[in-house]
Amino acid sequence: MREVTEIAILIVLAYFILSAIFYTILLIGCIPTISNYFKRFRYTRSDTLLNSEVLPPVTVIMPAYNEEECIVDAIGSVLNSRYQNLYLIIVNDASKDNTMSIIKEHFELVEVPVVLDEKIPATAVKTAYVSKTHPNIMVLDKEKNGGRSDSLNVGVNACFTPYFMTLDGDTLMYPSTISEFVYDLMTHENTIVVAGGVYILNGCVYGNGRVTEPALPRQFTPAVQTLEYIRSHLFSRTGWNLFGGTMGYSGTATLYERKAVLDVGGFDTKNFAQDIEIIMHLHAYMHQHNRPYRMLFNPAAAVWTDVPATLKEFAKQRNKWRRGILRATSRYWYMFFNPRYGIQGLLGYPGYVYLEVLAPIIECAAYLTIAATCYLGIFNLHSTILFLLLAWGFVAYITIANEVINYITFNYYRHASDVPRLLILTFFETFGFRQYSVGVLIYSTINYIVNRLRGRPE
Amino acid sequence: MQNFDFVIEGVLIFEAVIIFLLVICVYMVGFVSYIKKYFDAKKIKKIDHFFINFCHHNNGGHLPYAKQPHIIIRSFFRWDDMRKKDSGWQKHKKDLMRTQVLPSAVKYGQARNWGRRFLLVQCLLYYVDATYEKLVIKLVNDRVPVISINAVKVAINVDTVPVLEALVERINKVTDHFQILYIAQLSVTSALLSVIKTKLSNHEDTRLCRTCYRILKKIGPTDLFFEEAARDVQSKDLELKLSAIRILEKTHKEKATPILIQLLSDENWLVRNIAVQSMSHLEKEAILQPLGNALNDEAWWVRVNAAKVLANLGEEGLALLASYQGERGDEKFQEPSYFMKIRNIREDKK
Repeated sequence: MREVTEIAILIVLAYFILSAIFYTILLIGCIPTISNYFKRFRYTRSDTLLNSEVLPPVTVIMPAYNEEECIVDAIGSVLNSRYQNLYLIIVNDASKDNTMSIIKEHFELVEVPVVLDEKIPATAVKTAYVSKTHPNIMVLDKEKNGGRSDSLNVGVNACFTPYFMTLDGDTLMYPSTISEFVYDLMTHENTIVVAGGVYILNGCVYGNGRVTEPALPRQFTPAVQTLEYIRSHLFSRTGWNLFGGTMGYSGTATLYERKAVLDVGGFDTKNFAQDIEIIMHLHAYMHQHNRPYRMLFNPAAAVWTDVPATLKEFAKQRNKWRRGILRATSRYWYMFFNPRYGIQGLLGYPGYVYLEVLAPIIECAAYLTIAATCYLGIFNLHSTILFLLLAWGFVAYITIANEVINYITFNYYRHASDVPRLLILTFFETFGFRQYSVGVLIYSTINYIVNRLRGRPE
Repeated sequence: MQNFDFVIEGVLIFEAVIIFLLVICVYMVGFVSYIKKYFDAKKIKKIDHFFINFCHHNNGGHLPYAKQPHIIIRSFFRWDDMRKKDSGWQKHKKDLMRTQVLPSAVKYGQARNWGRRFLLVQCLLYYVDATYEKLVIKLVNDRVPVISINAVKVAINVDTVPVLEALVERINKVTDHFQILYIAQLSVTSALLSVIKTKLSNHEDTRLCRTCYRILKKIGPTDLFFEEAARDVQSKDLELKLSAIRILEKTHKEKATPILIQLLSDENWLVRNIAVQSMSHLEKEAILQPLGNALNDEAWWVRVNAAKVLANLGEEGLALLASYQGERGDEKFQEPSYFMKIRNIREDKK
C-alpha cells in the first residue's frame, strides 16, 4: 500500500511540476502579443488599415435556440459593428420560446424563397427571411431542432463570403471585434482562424446591442468563472500564439475561412464541443494536405457572453463540454507526438491532452494520494504544505499574475472594487469551486466512457 | 519522500520568481510604451513647426528627426488629415514627401517590422517614380497581405513593365478571395493592358489567363482582347472559361452576341448562367428570344438570371416574361420580383 502510494504521489508530483512549467511557458508566450498590443499603432494607423471599402466581406453566423432574452441585443451588437462589409445570418434552431417572433417584430422580416447550396449535410430550412430594415440580415428558420453544430452548418451553407464569424444568440460583441479579426487576417498570410477573447455578460449593464457598463458578476458562480476566462480563455490562448495556436477556441467568438471549414465537412453535429473539434480537424487536415495555414488568437477582439448562473447549470454545461472534448481528442489521437503534424503534433495536441484532458483525472488522484500519504505518514507537515502549494497554490498564483497583467492590457473591468473582488474570488476558486469543478469533470468522463462502451451517443 | 521537498521548493521558487519578473516585464513594456508616446508627441510638435515653415514661409532647412521616419510620417499623415483645406499644405505635400520624407523612409523597405514597411507603402502612395521600381516590386511581393495589397496602387502609379509584370504574377499567386482585394486597387493604364495582352498569349497557363480576365473585368477590357476571350470561352478549364465569358461582351458586343447565344446551349449550367448574366448589355433584339428560351432552363439560377435580365430590359422584356408566365404559372414573375424587391429595399436603405 505504501509503495503504491509513493509511486502515485511521484506521478502526481511530476504532473504538477510539468504543468507548472507549461503554464509558465504559456505566460512567457504572451509577451510578444502583449508587446505588439502596446506598440501596434506606433507604425500603423488602424483607420488606413481597416476603413477601406475593399476589405473582405464577413458573415456573422448566429445560431439561436431559445434566446428570446438576449437575441435583439446580440443582433444589435452586430449592427453596431464598425466593420462595414458585413452580413448576418441568424439560424433559428426550432426555438420553443418567442425568439422567432421577436426577431420578426424587431427587424421587419420579409419571407423569401429558400435557396441553399447544401455543401454540408444539415437540417432543412423551413422558411427564409430578409430584414426590410436591415437588408444585410437573413434569418433561416429550421424545420426541426438539430443542435448548435447543425445550425452553424446551415449558416455555412447559406454564407457566400470568404470568412464567417460564429456568435451565439446570448453574446454581444464590441463594435471593434470584427475589425480586430480582419486586422489579423490582413497582417498575417494564410490565416484561416482568428479567435477572440470572451468576457462574462452576467452582471454587465447592456442595451441597444452595447455593453455600457462592464462589471464583474455579482453572483458567485458567474463571478468565479471570470477567473477561468481570464486565465485560460485569455492568457493561455494568447500564449499559444507563439506555438502555432492551440487546439480549441471559443465557439462564440471565432472567425473562420469558409473554404477551410467546407474542406473539412463543417462542424461535427454529434459533438457538444464542436468549436474544439473543428479546430483539431482543421489542424489535422491542413497538415495532411500540406497547406500552409495560421490560427491566431486576438485578445483585443472581445465578446461578452452569458454563462451559467448556478452551480447546477454550470455542471450541466461542463458535462457537455467535457464529453465533447473527450470525443474530439479521441478522434484525432493520431496527432499525438506525431512529427507529421508539426508543432501541433509535437506540442499543441499533447499539451492540450496534458492540460485539459488529464488535469481533472490527475487532480482527483492527487486528492486521494494526499489523503493516503497523510494517513500512512509518508508526508510530514512541511512536505504536505509544499505539495499543496505546488498543486493548488501555483495555479492561484498564476491566476493572480494574469489578473495583474490583464489590468494594464486587455482589461474591461474598470471598477476599483473589481481588483480586490477578483483576488478574493481566487481564494474561493482554489478552495471549493475547483474541487466541485473536478467532481463534475470526473463524472462527465465516466459518463462519456460508459456511453461509449454501451454504444450510446457520447 | 522528503528527499523531494527540495525539488518542489526549487520548482516553486523558480516559477514564482519567473512569473514575478514576467509581470514586472509587462509593466515595464507598458511604461516604456507610455514614455515613447509622450516623447513622440513632443517630436511631432517640432516636426509640425518645420512643416509650417516649409509650406507657408518657403523655408526648408533641416528636417528634425530625419533618422526616425516613423515620427515624420505620422506627423505627415496627421497634417494630411487635418489640413485638407490648407492650400499651402496641399501645394507642397507631394514635394515634402519626395524631398524630406521618402529619402529617410526608404530604409524601411528592409525593416523586419511589417508596420514600418506598411508606413513606407503609405508614403509611396503620395509620391513614387520609376527610381523606386525595385523597392515597389519588393513591396508588391511582401508576405504581409495588407502591405502587398496597398503596394498594388503604388505599382500602378509607377506604371513600368517590370513592376506591372511583378504585380500580375503576385495577384496570380494569391487565393481567390484575396485576389478580389488586390484587383479592387487596380486602375487602367496602357502599360497594364499591354502586360496583360502579353500574359494572355501564353494560353497554357490557365490560372494566369484566368487572373488576367479578372483584372480586365475590373479595369475594363478593350476590343484588343476579343480574340483571346473568344479563344478561352471554348477552354476545357471551367474557371478560365467562366472568366473569359464574363469579359467577352465588353470586348466587342456585336461579335460577342452569337458566341454568348451559342453558350446558352452549353452542357454546364454555370456556363449558361454566366452567359445569361453577360447578356444584360447586349442589343435587345438579338437576345430577347434566347433569353426567353433560357426561362425554360433546367437550372434554377439560369432561369432566375434570365428573368432578371428580361425584367431589366424594360417593357419588351416584361412582356416576354408575362407570356412565359402564362405558359408556366406565375413562378417566373416571382423570381425577378424577389430580386427587384431586395434591390428596392437596399436602395431605400441607401
